[in-house]
Amino acid sequence: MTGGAGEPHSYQDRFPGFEVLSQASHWDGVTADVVTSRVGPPAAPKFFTGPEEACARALLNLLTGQDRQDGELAVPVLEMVDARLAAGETDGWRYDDMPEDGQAWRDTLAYLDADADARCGTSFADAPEKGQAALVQVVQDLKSGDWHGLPAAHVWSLWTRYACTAFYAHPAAWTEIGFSGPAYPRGYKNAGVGKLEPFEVPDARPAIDPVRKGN
Amino acid sequence: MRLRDVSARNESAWLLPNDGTRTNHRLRRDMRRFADDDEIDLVIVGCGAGGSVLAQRLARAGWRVAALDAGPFWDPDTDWVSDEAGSHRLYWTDPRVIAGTDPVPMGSNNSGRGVGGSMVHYAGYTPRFHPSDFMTATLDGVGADWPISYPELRPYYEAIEQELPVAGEHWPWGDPHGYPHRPHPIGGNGEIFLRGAAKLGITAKVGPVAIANGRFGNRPHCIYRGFCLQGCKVNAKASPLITHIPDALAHGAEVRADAMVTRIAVDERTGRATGVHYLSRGRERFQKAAMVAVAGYSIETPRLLLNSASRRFPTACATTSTRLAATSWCRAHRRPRAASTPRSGCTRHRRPR
Repeated sequence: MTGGAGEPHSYQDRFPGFEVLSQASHWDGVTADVVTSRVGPPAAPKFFTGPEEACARALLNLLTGQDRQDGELAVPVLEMVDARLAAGETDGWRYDDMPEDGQAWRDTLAYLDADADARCGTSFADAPEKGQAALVQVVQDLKSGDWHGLPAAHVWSLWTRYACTAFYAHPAAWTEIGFSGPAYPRGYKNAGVGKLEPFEVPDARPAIDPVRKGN
Repeated sequence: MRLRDVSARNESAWLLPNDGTRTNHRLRRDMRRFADDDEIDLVIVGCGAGGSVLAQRLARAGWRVAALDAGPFWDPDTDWVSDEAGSHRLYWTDPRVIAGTDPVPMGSNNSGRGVGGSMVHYAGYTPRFHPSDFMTATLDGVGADWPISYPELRPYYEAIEQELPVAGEHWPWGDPHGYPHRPHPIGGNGEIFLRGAAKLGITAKVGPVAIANGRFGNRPHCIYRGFCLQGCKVNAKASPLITHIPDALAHGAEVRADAMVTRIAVDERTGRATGVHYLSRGRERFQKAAMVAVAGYSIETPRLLLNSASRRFPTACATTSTRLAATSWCRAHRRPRAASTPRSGCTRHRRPR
């Protein structure tokens, strides 16, 4: 995720000096254990096969558009999604025109590889980033249209639900958006437009919307 | 509010600890426990908004009642976290398939698992139905008319609003009414919304929420932690786990957690229910009861009735047609196409007719 305004920014620039894990001593113990367990080297993937892992890794990193820190991704989205699928931890529902989540992931990754082969002559993971983006853009643009026999919008929903749930569970993503994390037992005392708690850091570039085109 | 009136009919808020912890462990340890072959007066399926209140009221009236829930008997201190991804166990996540042009997601979006039910992870929004909501088929040509009317429900609305308790601004629509607690201060989003509404000349109010604004019994006031949907670790937001179960236990009801009811048994000769089959710790068991109440949300309730079909009731328990189940499904799935917000949305204010 970049700051826009022509030049790329590291995510640390937006809330200067803020690091959410510095707040962990203010969180209740049960919550702190759950959150801090996500930091550090992730477990090796168990659900995806080798080729699936390569494809899913490329897809998830494209969807979450992460910065690199010292060459490493800030959030191990692939490993977090893999762990969920290995545990069968679904949202508790699926669309009637989609397979069960695990199978839907395997199928759609294979379709991405097939599309990449047809368009770039490589696997999806080996395709240049521009090519990857174009292939994924096709799925988003199809909306309710058909993509390899599946409604594209439901494929898009599957990918983005798993990607966003994993990405925004990680403290690095909270640091990026200036979210100070769990607020128990301290709570919030200063709600309202433009107001901050003493432990919050103000947005250094409030006028720049990283999502809006032209910024 | 007349606190004495509330505590005279429901002491739950005063039965919770006031030492900073959230669970009365002694009440649970000393809970009455019925044997499976002891024919109790009533077995209730589901310990959520409906089942828990029923258990509390009937236990007070002297009934021998057990309420079974498929999920755990939560302790907010040790089981709940201020974290979205870490709260997955609060939701009913058995496989569901959704279909249609505008399907409603399941899981975290509606039913809950465990004592307290979906109220453990709902946002706390507690508007009354508008009087016209009971006659949507007649007035709007959608849904079905209710067999009861708003005036019949009004005293129950008032009673539960005191027991939860509900905080909110005076409600000027339909049957105008106030709430026991003053409205909570609004955050930035609400402030922007109110400014916009004022600019457009639209009357907007701070809606009712079942979150104590001030101390209530031994329940502390809200600290605006922001994780209402992950289970309230403060005990400020109402769920039956703290609003009705403590009083139910104190009056001899049993809450049997981790007990998933699979079938209602019926005497083929008389057509009367005789108890429930349930799964507990991997074992199949049967609780004898003179009556069965099913309070398992709009998906699991019809599913259980359908799974309980018998020679006497070939399509679903306690009914000779599938209409009951079908009606529940419709309520879960359909909403008028004209409505721009979901039924639970906080901007669903209807113009007075």
